[in-house]
Amino acid sequence: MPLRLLHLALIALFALVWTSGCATYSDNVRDAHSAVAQSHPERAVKLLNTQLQLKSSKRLPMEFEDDNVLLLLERATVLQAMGEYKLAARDMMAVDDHLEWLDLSSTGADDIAKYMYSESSKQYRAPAYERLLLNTLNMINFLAMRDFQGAKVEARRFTLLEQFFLDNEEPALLSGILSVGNYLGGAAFEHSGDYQQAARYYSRAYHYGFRAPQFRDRLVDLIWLTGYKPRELQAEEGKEALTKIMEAVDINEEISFDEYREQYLKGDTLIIVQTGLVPWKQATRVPIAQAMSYSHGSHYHSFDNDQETRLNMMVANGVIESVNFPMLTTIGIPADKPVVVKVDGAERPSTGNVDVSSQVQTAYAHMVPSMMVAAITRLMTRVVAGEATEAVVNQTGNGGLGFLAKLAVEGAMNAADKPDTRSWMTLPGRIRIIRTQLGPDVHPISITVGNESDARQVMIREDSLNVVNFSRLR
Amino acid sequence: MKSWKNPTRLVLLLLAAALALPLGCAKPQYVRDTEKEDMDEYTMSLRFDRKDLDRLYKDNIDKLLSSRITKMWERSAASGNAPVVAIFPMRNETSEHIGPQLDALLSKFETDLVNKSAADVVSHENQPELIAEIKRQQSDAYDPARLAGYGRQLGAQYFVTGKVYDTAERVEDERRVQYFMFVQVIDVETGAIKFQNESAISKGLMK
Repeated sequence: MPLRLLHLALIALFALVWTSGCATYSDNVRDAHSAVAQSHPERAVKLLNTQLQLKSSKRLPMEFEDDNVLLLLERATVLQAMGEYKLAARDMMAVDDHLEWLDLSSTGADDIAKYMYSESSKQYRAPAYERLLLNTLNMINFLAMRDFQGAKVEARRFTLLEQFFLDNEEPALLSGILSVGNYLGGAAFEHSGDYQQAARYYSRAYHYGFRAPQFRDRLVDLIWLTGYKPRELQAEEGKEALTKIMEAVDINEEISFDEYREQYLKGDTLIIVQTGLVPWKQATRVPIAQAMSYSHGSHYHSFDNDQETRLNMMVANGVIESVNFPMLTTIGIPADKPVVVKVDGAERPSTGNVDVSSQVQTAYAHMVPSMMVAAITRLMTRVVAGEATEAVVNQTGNGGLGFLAKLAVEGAMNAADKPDTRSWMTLPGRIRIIRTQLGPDVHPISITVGNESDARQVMIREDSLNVVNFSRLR
Repeated sequence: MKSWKNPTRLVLLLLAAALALPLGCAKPQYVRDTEKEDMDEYTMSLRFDRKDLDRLYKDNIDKLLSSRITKMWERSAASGNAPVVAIFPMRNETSEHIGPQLDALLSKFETDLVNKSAADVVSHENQPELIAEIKRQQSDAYDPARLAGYGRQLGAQYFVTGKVYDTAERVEDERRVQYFMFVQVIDVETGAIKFQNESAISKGLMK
């Protein structure tokens, strides 16, 4: 190949790698994300359908590859906000079949790096909190449709994943999410007449932080009725669990199933208010000193001595200056606003209030050290590959071309090293639950989020659980 | 390696690799069974498909039609008192959304009970509100006192029903669901189980 042709080929290669820097997931979803933040779910759904290349929300994508699974999850969340529970449930069920998770405890640093960078992360891998919230939000869809069978299936799926993650993660990282998922599962089983299972789910909800006084009384009566023993929790904790609750059960007044139903299940109404948005991932250049400090403290991954030495040399020589990394950001997220819920014109306090955003930040902070080890290891490999290419080409006597080839290799790797910014961006930042009992009539139920309001006239059935979801106003 | 010592080859290799990146795969397309005859052979999910339903149906209906209770129905019908049988929704106690598939299975049983048994069968589709109520009540609906009440509403002496449980496991990206199905005939007045058969099916997602 003549020298000029060689130069041309290299220039073509540069052009190719630099123009292949596609928009990231968060770039693509930004407009829909912004529409949700501004409480315009209809606009968000249109934008998401455009991304999915679908004409209508009635349709599912033909392929569940690349970003489609996550885009479908975003659409489901927005459809739920619009009250389209059947479509939202269908989308979430489809997502559930295709959404795998990133288990840091059993994944090597090389594989973590593959999932972190767009080059090879074909299928999105969700962190634990997203997997658990998928079943939690789908429970809301089924409960809102009074499909308790469907809600129970979602509750069982939640339990399967809960057990899986409790084996690998710190329960404290996910306590809020575990409490709300178990609480909704308890409601599904309770209104199906499966009181033993309801006691199990409610016990876990209480254990993980649902502590409203009226809920405590309900749990004590239910445990007294069913004779449920929290042995599962004791085994997980390695010590006595729910000691105060069990003491209260021991001295509880007698109650029959009919009295329980009358006292707790008649006109039982759950008002769920989902506001705000969780932090999302943005590609960020993290200075190497900061990146190295982030890489300490991983439970599962660390540099060996050779890697540590090589890294320090590269940093000292100025070869590595920063790491391109997916960091959480709160840009464009609505501020945490005051929320007022009124039933029949009277304000009602929350039974439960889960700060999902904090849970996401805590859980992600727990993942960052492992991810940073993987990212830095990958960066070192890239630098070594560039240096090796330069040396090989220079050996052939093509002075100058070696440097070009090195840049081409590093450029190609840089383009490929775009951090994977995929995450469930439309997740609510906070979930509030208000539980009350209402008579069999139409009741005005309204919420105010900041200075916006949403009001409904809700027909209450006395013999069923009534679920009212508000997630339009963020 | 020889190719790495030759810059021309090196550049061509790099170009080839970069150009190969955006090449996509063939797009999926919709087909019907007459165009792709083996399409029912694939396992598409961990839920029940037609093959699973056929297997469960065959395993249960043969045993049901040759059971003591069916023979008793024949004797009652011969003496002019054909028993009235109704299909009662199956309980899905699994971690999979298989409710519609269970309804399909019961519809197949209903067809065979109409055509091959001596019982008079009450169509459950004529009672949509009652069936919706039963499905909503779930566990409570199977309380003997409630069963008797539903039986009176439908004018049925026996219910054909059942329940499905599962053991679901995950190891990394692999999943397995073991289903256990119990098909039952229940005497509405007493709540006694007059026939029961167990079937099992396992489905998995293996790498």
